[in-house]
Amino acid sequence: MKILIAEDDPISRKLLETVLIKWGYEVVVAQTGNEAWEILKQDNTPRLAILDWMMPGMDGVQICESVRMQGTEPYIYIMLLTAKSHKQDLVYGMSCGADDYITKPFNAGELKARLNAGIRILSLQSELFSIREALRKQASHDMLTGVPNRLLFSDRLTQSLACAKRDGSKLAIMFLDLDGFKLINDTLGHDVGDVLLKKVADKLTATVRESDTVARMGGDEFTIILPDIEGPLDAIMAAQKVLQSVSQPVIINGRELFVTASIGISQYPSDGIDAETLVKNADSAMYRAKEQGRNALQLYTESFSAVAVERVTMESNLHKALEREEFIVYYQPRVDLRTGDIRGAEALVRWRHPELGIVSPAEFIPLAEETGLLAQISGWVLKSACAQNKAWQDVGFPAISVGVNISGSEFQPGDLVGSVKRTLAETGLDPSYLDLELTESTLMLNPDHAVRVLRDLKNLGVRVSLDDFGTGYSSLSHLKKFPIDAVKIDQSFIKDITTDRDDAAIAGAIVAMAHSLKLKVVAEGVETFEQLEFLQSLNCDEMQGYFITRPVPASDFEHILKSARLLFGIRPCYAA
Amino acid sequence: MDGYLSKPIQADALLSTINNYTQTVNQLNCQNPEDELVDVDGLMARVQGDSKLLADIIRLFIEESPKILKEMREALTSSDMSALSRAAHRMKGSAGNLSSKACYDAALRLESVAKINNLDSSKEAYQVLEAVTERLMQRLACLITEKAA
Repeated sequence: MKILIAEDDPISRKLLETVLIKWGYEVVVAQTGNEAWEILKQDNTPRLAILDWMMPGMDGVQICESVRMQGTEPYIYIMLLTAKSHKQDLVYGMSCGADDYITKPFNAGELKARLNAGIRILSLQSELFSIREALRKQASHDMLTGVPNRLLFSDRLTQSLACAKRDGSKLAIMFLDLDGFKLINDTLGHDVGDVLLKKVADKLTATVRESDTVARMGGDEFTIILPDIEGPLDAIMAAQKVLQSVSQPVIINGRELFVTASIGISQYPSDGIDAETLVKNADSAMYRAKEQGRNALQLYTESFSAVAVERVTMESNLHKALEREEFIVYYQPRVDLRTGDIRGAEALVRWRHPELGIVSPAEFIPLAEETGLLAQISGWVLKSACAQNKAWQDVGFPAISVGVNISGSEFQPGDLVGSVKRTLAETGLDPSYLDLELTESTLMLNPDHAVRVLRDLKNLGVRVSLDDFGTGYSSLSHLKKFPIDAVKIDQSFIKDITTDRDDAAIAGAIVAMAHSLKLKVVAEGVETFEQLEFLQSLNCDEMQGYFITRPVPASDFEHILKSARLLFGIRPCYAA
Repeated sequence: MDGYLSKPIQADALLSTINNYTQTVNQLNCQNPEDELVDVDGLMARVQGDSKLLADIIRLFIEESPKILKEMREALTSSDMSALSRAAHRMKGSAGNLSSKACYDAALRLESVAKINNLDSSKEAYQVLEAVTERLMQRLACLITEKAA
C-alpha cells in the first residue's frame, strides 16, 4: 500500500517514514505542501495521505480542500497531522475534507489503529468505485459486444465534431450493416448470431485506428467515427479495410460462416455539420450500398437525400390519394390494323397529384407495391374501367373491350377471380368486353398455378392477353398450355422494326407463331406511319401507340370513339 | 497514563500493576535523575525499539535545534514576534517527538508569550528554553550510546 507523507519538520518526517516502512508501506515523501499537491494530482497517486497541518506554502487543510474539489477518483483517504489539540481546529480540518487526524507527537499504536481504519474505508470505497464504474460502462456500452452503445456514440460524435470545428479538421462516419444477418439468425439461431456480432465488433475495433470509435447502434448496425482525416480517400481506405476484414470467414461452433457488410460514409463538413445529419446521411448512403449489391461501400451524395425525402413524401401522399380520389384512368385505343376500327382501349392509371400534377405509374406503382397499396389501387382501376366501358356502351358507342393490367402480386389464388367476378356483377359489364393483361413473367413465376387461374378467368368469359411479349422467358409449350386470346408484342421490338432486321424477324416470327396458335397479335408502341405499314405487311392484327394517340382521359377518348377511322388514314391504305 | 486495569478488578492484577509502577518510579529517580528531561520509554515506543531510528532522530535534533535557537535570537533582536512564535512552534514539535516534556513546555511557553507580543517575557522564556534544550541535547547524545549497547 502506497502512502504519502507531507511534513516539513525533518524529525517528524524521519519518524513517520521509518515507522511506516517498517509496517510494510511504500512511502512517498513530500517536504512541502505544494510538493504534496503535485503528487496527489497525478493519476497514480497514493490513496492514503498523512498531511501536516502547519506547513509553509500550501498547508494540510488547503490540500484537503483541493483534493475534494477535484473529486479525485478513486478516493484519497486523508489524515491531518496536527500539534494542535483544540477541538474547534479539528472540527474545521475535518469539515474541509480530512477523514481523520492524529496529534503530534504521535503514538505508534494509535497511528497504526487509525491507518487500519482508513484502509478499511478505502477498500469499501474501491468496491463502490468498481460497482459505479461497472454501472457507468453498462449505461454507455453495448452489453453483448462491449463496444460503446448509441448513447456514448452520440457523446463521442458531438465531442469529435466540436474538436473538428475548433481545429478546422475533417471527420467521417461509417454506417455499417451486415448483409443477410437476419437469415443467419433465423437459420442458425440467435446464439450463433450473437457470437457473430461479437466477432464482428472485435474485427472492427482491431481494424480501425485507436482514436476511432466503434459503436453498436442496435441489431446488426455498427457505426464508426473517424476523426481527423485528410479527405474522402482516407475514409474509403478505412472502409475497404473494414469490408475486407469482415468478409474473412469466422468459425462458430466448428462451422465456417461467411458474412459481408455494406458501408455508407458521410463526411464533416461536406455532408453535414451536426451529428444527426451526418448519421442520417451515412445511413442513407449505406442503403445505397446495399442496393448496389452488398459487400460495398458508398460515399454520401446530396441526391440520396433528395430521393429519400421525395420517397417519404410520396409514401404519405399515396395513402391519402385513394381517399381524396386523386387517381384517374386514362385510355389508349387499340386499333384494327386492317379496318382502322377501334377494337378496345387499354386502361392506364394516373395520379393527379395536387402539387406535382400528373404522376406516371412508373413512379408510384413500385412504391404502392412495397407499401401494400397496390391491391386497393388496382381494384379501383378495374372497377372504374369496367364501369366506364359499360357507360360508353349504354350511350350507344360501338362495343369495345377494355384492357386492365394485372400485376404479379395480384395474381394470387382466389383473389383475382373473385374480385373480377364481383366487379363485373357490380358494373353490369359483359365479361367478353373485359381484357385482362398479364405479363409473361407473372405467369412464368408459377406456370401450373397460372394455367388454373387463367382457366377460371376464361370460364368467367373474360379475355386474357399476354403483355410485353418477347421480353420475358416463356417456352412455346407453356404458351400453348395457357388459355389466352392474344399476345402484345413489346414496344422494344417495334421501335426499330423498320431498320433493325433482327427486330423485324422477331416480330414476324411472333406474329406467325401466335397465328398458328390461333392467337391475335397486338403491336405496342407504334409511333410512325412506317412502323404501321410494316406491321400491316407482317399481317399483325392490331396496334396501339402514340401514332394514334397517347393515353387520354375518358372524355377525350369519347371524341376519338366518335371519329376514329377517319383520323388515322388506315382504311385508305387498305382500300387501295 | 502509566498503567491500566480491566474491570472487574482482580486483586492479583492490581498488586502487580502497583508493583511495576513503584519500581519504575524508583529506577527513574535513583539511577538517572536526568531522565525527567526525557521519557525514555515513551521515546523508545515511538521509534518502535529501533536504536538506529533513535540515533537518526537524535542527530536530526542536535543538528536542527541550534539553527532554531539562532532564528529565535534573531527574531528577538528584530522584535519579529511572529517569526519567534513559528520557531517556538517547531521547537515544540521536535521536543514532543523526542518525548521531552520539559523542553516541550518551555517551547510552548515561548510560543504563547510571543503570540501575545510580550517581548520581555519572550526573552525570559527564550533563556529557559535555551538552557533546557542544551541539557536535552547532551542527554540525548548519551542516550544514543546507552541504547546502542
